[in-house]
Amino acid sequence: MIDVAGVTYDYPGIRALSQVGFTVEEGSIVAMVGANGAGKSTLLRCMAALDRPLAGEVRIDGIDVFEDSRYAHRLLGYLPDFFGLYDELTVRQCLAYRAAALDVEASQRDEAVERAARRMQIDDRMKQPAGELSRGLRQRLAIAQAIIHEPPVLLLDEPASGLDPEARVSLAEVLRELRRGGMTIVVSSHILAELEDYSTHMLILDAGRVVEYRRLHAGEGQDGRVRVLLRLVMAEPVPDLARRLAAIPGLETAEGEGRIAQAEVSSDPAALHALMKRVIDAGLPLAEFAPLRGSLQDAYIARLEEERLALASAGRGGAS
Amino acid sequence: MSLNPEFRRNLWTELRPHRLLVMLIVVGLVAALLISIDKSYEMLRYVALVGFYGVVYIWGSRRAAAAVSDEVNARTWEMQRMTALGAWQMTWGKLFGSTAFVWYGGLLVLAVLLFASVAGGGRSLDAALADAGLKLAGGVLVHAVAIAVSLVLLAKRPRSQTLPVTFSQMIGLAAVLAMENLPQAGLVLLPNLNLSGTAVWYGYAGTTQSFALASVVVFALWAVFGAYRLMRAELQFEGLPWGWPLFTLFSVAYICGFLPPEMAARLDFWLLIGFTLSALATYIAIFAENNGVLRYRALLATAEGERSGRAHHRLPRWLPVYLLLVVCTLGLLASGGLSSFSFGTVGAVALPYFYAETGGLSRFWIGALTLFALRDIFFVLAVNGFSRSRKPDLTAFVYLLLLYGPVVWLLLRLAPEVSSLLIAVPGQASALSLASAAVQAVVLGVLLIRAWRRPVAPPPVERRAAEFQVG
Repeated sequence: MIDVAGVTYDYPGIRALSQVGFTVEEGSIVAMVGANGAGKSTLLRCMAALDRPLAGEVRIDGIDVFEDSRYAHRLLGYLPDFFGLYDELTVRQCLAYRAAALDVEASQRDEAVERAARRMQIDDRMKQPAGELSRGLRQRLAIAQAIIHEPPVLLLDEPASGLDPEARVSLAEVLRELRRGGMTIVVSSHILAELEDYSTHMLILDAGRVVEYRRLHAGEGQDGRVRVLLRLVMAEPVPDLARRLAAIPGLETAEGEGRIAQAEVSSDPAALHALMKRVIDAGLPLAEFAPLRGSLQDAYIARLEEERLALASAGRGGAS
Repeated sequence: MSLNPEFRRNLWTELRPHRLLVMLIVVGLVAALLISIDKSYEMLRYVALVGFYGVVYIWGSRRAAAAVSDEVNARTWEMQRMTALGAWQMTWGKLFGSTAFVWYGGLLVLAVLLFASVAGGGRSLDAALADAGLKLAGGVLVHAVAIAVSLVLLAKRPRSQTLPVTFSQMIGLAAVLAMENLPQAGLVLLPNLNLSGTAVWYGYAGTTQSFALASVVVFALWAVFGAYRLMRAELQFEGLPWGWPLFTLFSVAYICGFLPPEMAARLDFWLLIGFTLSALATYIAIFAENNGVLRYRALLATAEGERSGRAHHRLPRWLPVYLLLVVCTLGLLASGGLSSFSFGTVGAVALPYFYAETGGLSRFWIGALTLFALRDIFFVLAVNGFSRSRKPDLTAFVYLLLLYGPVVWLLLRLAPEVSSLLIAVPGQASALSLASAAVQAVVLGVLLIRAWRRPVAPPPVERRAAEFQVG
């Protein structure tokens, strides 16, 4: 769905992106992670055809975004890290303008406005001027504007910044729903924990280069949720624990010995609750039941360290 | 057909009922008050005239310039660029949308002005309507120029998060002031040509008012076209920079219309005016461009890369007008008509050169001026490439101003032969001037290409690795 090839971008005196290339599969959510200045925002701007790179090309659904940027914008939704709204317009007017400006059919605009507002849970604020909204609601309105034309590709630069924890959970749910609807999403963020719950791929950028781009999880459930690693601790050693766990529906890939086991499960809270109940009902002395958190962050840090060490040793090798 | 979304969005904010009502009440009350004071309507006419200029020209130019600046400052511009709106939709949506309330107020005041002009008995309805047409076209001109200048400023600093309004407004006002007074200005600019009290253009003699109206309408259309072309570039549409040279050619044809028939029929006069205007257009273009190193590095990279066929989309606007200057120069040199020209005969048509009194036109002077113009272009680019100035174009402008002003003035008095090595001095230009200009241009050109090709600093991680290597 998204093909980025050989993208190089310079700022005065510094190379911001260096031969960046990757392909994003349709229907995936890519977590774009990296330190400040790694080039995340610049890359997203190039992908959105807002900045023309020194070299390289970006294709969205086969369209070269720089050859036909207007058409590419119909395929894209983009939310920059710092955005503004038309404060004097009401929420409805903001969305109606956006729908018209993105060539949504006139007969479908009202429906598109209602749908986007409902999705972002701002449908009760339609008559309120954008300038009177709280920061969290402004963020929701901005995302609603970005998705109003139901683009196949959505690019979000730090979408959760400024949102309270509840709103972040809600945002994650919205992104999952959009993905279920077939949207391909690229999200950049510093907060890795929030990406982990819904991302299918991780793209690590460091100093303008792609350090790693890989699938995050083995797969996902039919509910569209990613599968997470679950850690189960028994109160006492259980003979043949792995076999007994594997017999429980939803824990097919369980493995472990004695007291501690790991299994890949859906991240859906309701499914987790049902699963815990099934484990207890199976007569197992369950003492601890928790998804393993921090794996995205661990993977990110480990990969960065590995990369930098490799670069440093390559430098030493070159010197010798 | 649905309304242009950008225009409609502007109407939502501009034409709020209470604003419309307040404007109507204010105009009505002031008109009633003035009629009650002066039954001859003269005071009403005068106040309406000032009111129109205040509302449409001064306030309107500010609103038009802010049409882009406000978007940048409020961080909504990026979202606008992400729409599927075309450049033309965006241009006219902003041009007439951001000034919708201004036009509402302006039309009310203009109606009062028409009434006062006709009812006062001073003017016929036809004359009053023609005058109103001139003012309306002037309004479009000033607004379009203000938007175009704000787009130029935006392109010059693409990552800026603030954009000034006043400069764009001032240029817009200057443009309309010049155009509305063109017939009078023509008398000043063309003192030696056969232009009398009535405007004569390609043999057509008309009243100064009708000529001014036609000129303002045509130049207003050019200003709208210019804003559209700049909007295209801002929205990442690819295309050749042919708009500016086309306007330059039109300006040549427009000015040649003022020449007496025997002069207008001569190619060398056309070439001379083309030479003058393309030189002027080149200098305007170089200072209106984004002259950053990155822009030229990208141009080189595209030209030398796999997609070299697309390099022409990145060409700067000064290049085609400079090529036009070169063509005019070669044409003049080939025509052999130079000896018939002097600064006295062509007067200000050839721009009253600062050193006009020192001599006439010569082949060397024409050639040297063209090469020194190239040297100046490269100098501006070099200041952008090598200096740490935060405003490199302004720095380069000041340096050039010093060179063409006090430096050469001093040299002309102390060592005249040296001055012609630095600029094209009429009467003193020689083969040495040509050689000097060529050498300066080549040296600066080579330095620039090397700078544009110089590798950029590697990303921090690679730098850290390189430091390891040294250690």
